Amino acid sequence: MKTKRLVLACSYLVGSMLSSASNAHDIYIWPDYFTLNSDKSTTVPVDITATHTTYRSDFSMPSEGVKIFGTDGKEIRYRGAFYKGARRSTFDLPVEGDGTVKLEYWRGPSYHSSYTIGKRDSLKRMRMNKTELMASIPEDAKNPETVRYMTIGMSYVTNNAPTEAVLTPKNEGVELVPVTHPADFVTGEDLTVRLLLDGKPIAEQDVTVELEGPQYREEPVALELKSDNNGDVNFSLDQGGRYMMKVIHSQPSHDPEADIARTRIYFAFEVIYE
Amino acid sequence: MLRNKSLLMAILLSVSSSLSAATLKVDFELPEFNVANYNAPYVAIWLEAKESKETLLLWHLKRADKDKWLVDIRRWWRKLGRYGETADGITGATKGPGKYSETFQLPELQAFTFYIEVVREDGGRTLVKQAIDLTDSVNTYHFDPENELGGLTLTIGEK
Repeated sequence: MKTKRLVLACSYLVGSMLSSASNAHDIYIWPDYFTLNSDKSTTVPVDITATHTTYRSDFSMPSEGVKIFGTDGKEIRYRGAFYKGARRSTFDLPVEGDGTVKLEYWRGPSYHSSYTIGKRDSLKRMRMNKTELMASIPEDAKNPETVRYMTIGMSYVTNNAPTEAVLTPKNEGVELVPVTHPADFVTGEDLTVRLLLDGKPIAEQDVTVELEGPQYREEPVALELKSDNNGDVNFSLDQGGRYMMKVIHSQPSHDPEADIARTRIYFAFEVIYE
Repeated sequence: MLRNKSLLMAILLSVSSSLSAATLKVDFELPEFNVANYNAPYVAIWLEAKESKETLLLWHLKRADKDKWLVDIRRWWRKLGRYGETADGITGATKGPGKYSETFQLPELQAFTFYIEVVREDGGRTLVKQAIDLTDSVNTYHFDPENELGGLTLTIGEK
């Protein structure tokens, strides 16, 4: 548990070093109701924030990043009101008919560069792509590096009987795909999600699952997991509640404006008691 | 249990000779709670087997046009509720504290798991389950009071 706390402390530190809020922070999108039973059309409030604390709002996000996929898996154009508050954004998701809807929030790509300089190898960071970095970097700088960030928040809402269409992978980029249906995340049961890169399994990927409200606990309730050779991440949770699954995947960049392509995925889900 | 071996054997024989005639009597108590905001609990009783699942009883807020809190009967909702309408004959309005005795005709199943789930708004939730095999010699199951369930006895009998 000591190391877990250390890991979390370090992530706070890194966060504060990268001062540009929305790019360095986790981005969460989550519904007030993950599961509902309604035969009439209804709405579910959805919140979006960029933050370092699971489910605690810190920075609001613009509406452009929202993607909604209907029960048939096709993207729905959202036409309702979107309120961008100071530290959180919110909208009402219309829910009509049975099945599972997927919420996504996309941010990026954004480019972050760094180099070291001087006798003490001081680390300098700037929001620049490779071209911009090379145009401005001092001659005596060392270790220049540019990272291309994509950040994806995701969650699911199920009305009445769950459906599978929104769980079908697109086989593009880094994806987190639930194998256990998110409407069936139950305490004490074996839960599985799969990690894919262009449709192929991502093995040995670190994954964190954290229970909401770490600010109220002596020790955060967090699992540190790794995907197996099928890209599967298997876990089980004893405590019901809202959790956040966090994946930070890095690979060499195909984009010439960066050295490293980093995809960060934040999956908001609830676990109910049996 | 052995004291009444002949009776048990008779029940066993009659049960196994005609499974579909078996009944299940559920005696349970909804306890009183001395709280400011007491709401009569939702109660669901159902069976789960490999072959099928069946709701036997569902007490919920009938006065609501469409009850949007059925989802809070969590296991029942996940296993049965979300997949469709529950027959009118099975559903009833919520009931307050007291002792209740309900007898159900069992479907043609030899082995199943009995479930009762009691959920109270602003209160707790209790889920009790019992695996039952009609070819077993046991025909009564007692459960100690637990939170939202004052006591529970299951009796398997004939029609």
